[in-house]
Amino acid sequence: MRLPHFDLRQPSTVEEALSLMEEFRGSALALAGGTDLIPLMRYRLEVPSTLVSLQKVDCLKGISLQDGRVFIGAMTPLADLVSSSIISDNFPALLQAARAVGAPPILNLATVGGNICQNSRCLYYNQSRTWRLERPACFKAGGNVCHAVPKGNKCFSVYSGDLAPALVALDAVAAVEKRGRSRSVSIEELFSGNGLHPIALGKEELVTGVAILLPEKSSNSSYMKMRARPSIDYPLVSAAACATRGGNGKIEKIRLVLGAVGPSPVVVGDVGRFFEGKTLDEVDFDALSEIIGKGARMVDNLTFPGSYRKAMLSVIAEKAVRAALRPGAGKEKQ
Amino acid sequence: MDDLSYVGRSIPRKDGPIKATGRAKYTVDVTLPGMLVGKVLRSPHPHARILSIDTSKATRLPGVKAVVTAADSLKIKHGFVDTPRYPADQYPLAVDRVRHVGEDIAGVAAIDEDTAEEALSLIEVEYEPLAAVFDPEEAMRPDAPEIHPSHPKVNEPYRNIGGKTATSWGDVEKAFAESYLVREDKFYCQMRAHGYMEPQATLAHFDYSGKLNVWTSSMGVFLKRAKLAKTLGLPYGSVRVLKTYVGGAFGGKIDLFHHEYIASLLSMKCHLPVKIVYSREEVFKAARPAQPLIVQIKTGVAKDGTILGQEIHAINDSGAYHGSGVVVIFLAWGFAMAPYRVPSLKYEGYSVYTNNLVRAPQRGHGAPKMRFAAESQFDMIAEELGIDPVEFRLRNVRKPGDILPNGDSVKNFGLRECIERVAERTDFKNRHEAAKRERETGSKVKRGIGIGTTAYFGGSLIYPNSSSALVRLNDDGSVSLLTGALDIGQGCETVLCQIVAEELGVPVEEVQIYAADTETTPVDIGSWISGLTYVTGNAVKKAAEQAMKKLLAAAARELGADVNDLVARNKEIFVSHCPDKTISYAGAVAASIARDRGDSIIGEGHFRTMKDEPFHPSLASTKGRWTENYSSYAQVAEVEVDTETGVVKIAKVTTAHDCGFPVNPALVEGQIDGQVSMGQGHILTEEIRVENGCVINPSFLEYKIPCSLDMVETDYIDVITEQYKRGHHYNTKEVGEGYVSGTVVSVANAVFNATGVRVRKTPIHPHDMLAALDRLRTPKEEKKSGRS
Amino acid sequence: MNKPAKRLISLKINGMEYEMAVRPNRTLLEVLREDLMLTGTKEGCDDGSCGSCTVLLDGSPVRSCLLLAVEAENREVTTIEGLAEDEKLHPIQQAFVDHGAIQCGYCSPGMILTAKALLDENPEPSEQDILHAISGNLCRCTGYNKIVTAIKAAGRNGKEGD
Repeated sequence: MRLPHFDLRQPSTVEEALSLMEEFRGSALALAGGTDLIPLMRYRLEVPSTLVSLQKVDCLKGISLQDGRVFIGAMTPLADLVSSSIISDNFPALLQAARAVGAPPILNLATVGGNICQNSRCLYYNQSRTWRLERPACFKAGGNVCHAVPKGNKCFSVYSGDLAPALVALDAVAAVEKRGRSRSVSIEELFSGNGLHPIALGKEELVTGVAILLPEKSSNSSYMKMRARPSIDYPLVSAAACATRGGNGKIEKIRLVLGAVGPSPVVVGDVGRFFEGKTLDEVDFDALSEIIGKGARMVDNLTFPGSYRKAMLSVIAEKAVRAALRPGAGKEKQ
Repeated sequence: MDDLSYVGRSIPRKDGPIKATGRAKYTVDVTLPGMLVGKVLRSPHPHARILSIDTSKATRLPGVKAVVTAADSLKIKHGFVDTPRYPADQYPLAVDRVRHVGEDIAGVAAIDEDTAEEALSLIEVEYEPLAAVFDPEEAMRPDAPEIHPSHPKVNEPYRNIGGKTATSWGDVEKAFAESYLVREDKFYCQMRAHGYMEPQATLAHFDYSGKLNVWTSSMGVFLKRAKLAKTLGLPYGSVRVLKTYVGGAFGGKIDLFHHEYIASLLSMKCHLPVKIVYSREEVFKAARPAQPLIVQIKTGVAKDGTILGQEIHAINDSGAYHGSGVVVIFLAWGFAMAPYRVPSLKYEGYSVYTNNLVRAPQRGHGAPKMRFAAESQFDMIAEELGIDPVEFRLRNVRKPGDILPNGDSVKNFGLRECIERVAERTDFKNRHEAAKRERETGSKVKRGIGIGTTAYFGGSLIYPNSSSALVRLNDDGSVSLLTGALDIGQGCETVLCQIVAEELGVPVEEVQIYAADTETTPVDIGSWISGLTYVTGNAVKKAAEQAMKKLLAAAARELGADVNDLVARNKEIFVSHCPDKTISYAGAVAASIARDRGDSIIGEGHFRTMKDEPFHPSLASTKGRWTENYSSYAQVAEVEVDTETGVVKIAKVTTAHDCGFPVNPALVEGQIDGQVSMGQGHILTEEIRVENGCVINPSFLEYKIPCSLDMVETDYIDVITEQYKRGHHYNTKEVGEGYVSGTVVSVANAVFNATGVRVRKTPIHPHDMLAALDRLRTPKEEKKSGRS
Repeated sequence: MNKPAKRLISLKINGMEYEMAVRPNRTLLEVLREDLMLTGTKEGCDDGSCGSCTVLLDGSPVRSCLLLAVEAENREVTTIEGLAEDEKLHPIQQAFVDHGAIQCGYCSPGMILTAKALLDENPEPSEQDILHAISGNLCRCTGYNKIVTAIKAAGRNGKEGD
């Protein structure tokens, strides 16, 4: 399968890139590592007339530590994330999420910005043009049916990125820029909640980087991914947890985020009562499982049925919480 | 035993370096000057009448060199089987009706990919959709939409019956009446993909001499030639199919594939080379997947576990045409009766048309499905009788020399030894008992062990039925082997060269091989039906022996010695009692040419199995002999089941195998490892998902073949039952297909051992596993067994 | 849309400079196979899942089907054709041959290059390191067992050879 034709722009500065995004607003897409976008283009799910490649914008690459804050450029390859001691020392969840994305040939191309801004997925959407022509177009492809839920009136595609749930758990913030204006958005708010366009970015906007506050000494994080095959696979469900303990070893604070649930990573609300002031042994995971994924509508549009994936949410969440709280946890080594 | 220098050794494969360096040319890599890009237009409907096809716009598009539809063809049908009972039933280009999504409508050849794609979009086809049916049991109902009329010789009031195999012996009803325990169970196997890494591809060039030259990713060039010649209306001699390296096949590249026909027809129209390479999506939806099978099996046993009788109903969903459906229902019978004694058996297999894809054989062709059913039930019976699964099998296993109901002898059948040795190596009985006890403990991860076995045929009679080989001594004493065999990755070129090296006393790396070209190499049975090492191997052996005989005769005359006193080693011939009397092979060749009226030294060998059988066995009645050599093996799997997620992992598979005589043990190990992995995919993760006849997971992302992190530890036990002897035809047995079965069965049985969950459907989806575990916790007995 | 103009680019492949004109939509894989006839790099899927097309980019394995040829400018590309020196196999290639790690051979170029990148970084990898490194390269023939054996052996041999 060949790629459609497009014009390629290769700016070398952020300003140039932003100008191009403005100039070709709506008809241009930003190209980062290409591991998400290139297959979508091959399937004609994206047919931009211009690609603005960020590959030559060197200032978007790199991981740095400044004033208690870690900055990760949007064009930093995931392989650099995996080999960075700043990341492994401070953000085990992010390290584990990056590693879970795929094998080295993917990690070397895929970027942090690209992984965050990847499109949501569905078994009935991520198909070639020929395949899709065999049936009416679905909501996400511009039509008005859903093949996964025949009577559904909206798109149930699933956001399947690995980094975003971890970044949400770590309270990370994205730098979003357009020409002449930049804003900071929490990763959580970067998501629209709408399967049609899961990333809440203007057409001329780019995510240029991510900032994460250094964690408190007593805190730790983890990311767990469940998938049908241990590599070359998107998550069936995933969970990220970030936990802080008090001086007495008891849990002070916890943030739990679920991935591959719907169009956005989902922060499990009101979990304090299950954890705060308790040791790991005292946590009632059965009670916790009652509220996890409650209200989430998970349908049969990935490898395994929605009901199974939903049932697995509490299993994966417990694993993530336990890993974040396991005694002596802190630095992540393989 | 002879002192063997090359045969029986783990010699690295001859094509290793060319493959390791990326220099091996696969079909996708072959190019010719002026080559065009070919593409195929396919039906989006599972069942429809074609009202009209208008290719005029596509034909007028600049850059388009040829467009073909059925109107350009001879409308000659082809089929995997083409016999009076089962005549060919499929057009290479749809004539007036399509019966599955992806059926070929038209082909275009253009100067580049873009133009070819655009041309496809300009072809206008008008369809009248027809009612379709996708489930084989629904398709059999009298009110189902008719895809083809039922076979005229099938009397039941079923619709869409493409074929039927029926056979019986003994008195099954009496056997059941006398049984202590009778069980009846039903098992389902999914549709799977072969997952060869090189997609389907063809390059065809009809040159101005009137010859069609074809490079195609196949499993044997002679079968392709026959089918292309027939459908294109060309004499065999005008069709040349040439060797390329093959990027995997596993059964999925036998028979005529329509891109081969379409590329050829396009090239015949424009006299330019045309290459068609399928996208991976096209491989999933337009090439042929493997056979699914439903097996209903009723078994009666005596109190001690002796099998008294079996009744088996198999239903195959053959898809829109026969494909290999009418064969798999025949083979399934064979895999039911071969490994164990079944004194009374009634077997019925139906192959049913549906509006699904047409199927090809896949490694094992029915064996994994039949053995899965039979041996899952063995363990269920053993459990009910309180007998160990190993004991149960040993009580019923066939003995060497047993004569099967069709007249075959299992000869030096090693299954008993395989079972005993694999059980011993894995401490099976103790661990099986221990796992049962531990099932009730609180651990979330359950461990279990299970056994599975198979017997498999090799080299049976099917076109082209035999192999021939030529061994040529060159003037410098070097040796060339000419064979029609096609190496698809299993390493047959290496094995055949080992045999030549052994017979001629020439270093194996110096044996030159010229393989798989219908114009310059002799006929070959093909890299399928698991007969190459046996059939082609013996042809090569005979050819080498004949060449050696001529060489020694020339040397004897030259040295003035008796032929029986000569010893040949390392391209030198000397007189055994007088070692300084010597002549080189080059000298002997020159002597032969000088003295024998210019005779150069060429040996010729031919071989087929079952010399006394006129024809292959009857697909309808199973009458007639099936094979001369039954391989056998027993495999033990160790599994872990996570009861929280339902995920099953295979920790280790131990294989005791009787493949006769391993000509190259390392290659045998490679076959076993690959089949364990393929069996792992079968039982755990792989499934082509189809909705309304359309594949919804046509990619390697969504069709989950195992990756490296799934790797299963393997261990092997050689059970050698045959020997390679100089001067005799040698027996060796299948090694490339059967192990999938043992893996599938042993894992299913190990899962039961670990959890108490009986697997009745493959693959074991984690959600099904969880549901089954839930049902166990809230028991609701639904026993189908009855004790008399 | 209309075809955009070709770009004049210079690619550095296996130490050689190639000047060529390519359209932006062509992948490195297509250019290697079709323009430079470096057919050792294989295509096996449509979506970047199989790993057959793996090449080294500045020494690191990448999927050449996911990379635009234009974007490979000024980077060092190594394909399987660049590994053996004359007729002598690279130690990893030799290990693949010796240990039965090759059957049909279609995944071998990508697998061997991925292994090379691993061993360059870590000459004595553990089994888990190896399994993880090659987890993006599908092989249907071998079950991976002999590939792992070969990579382990090549790692040791490479060290002895130093």
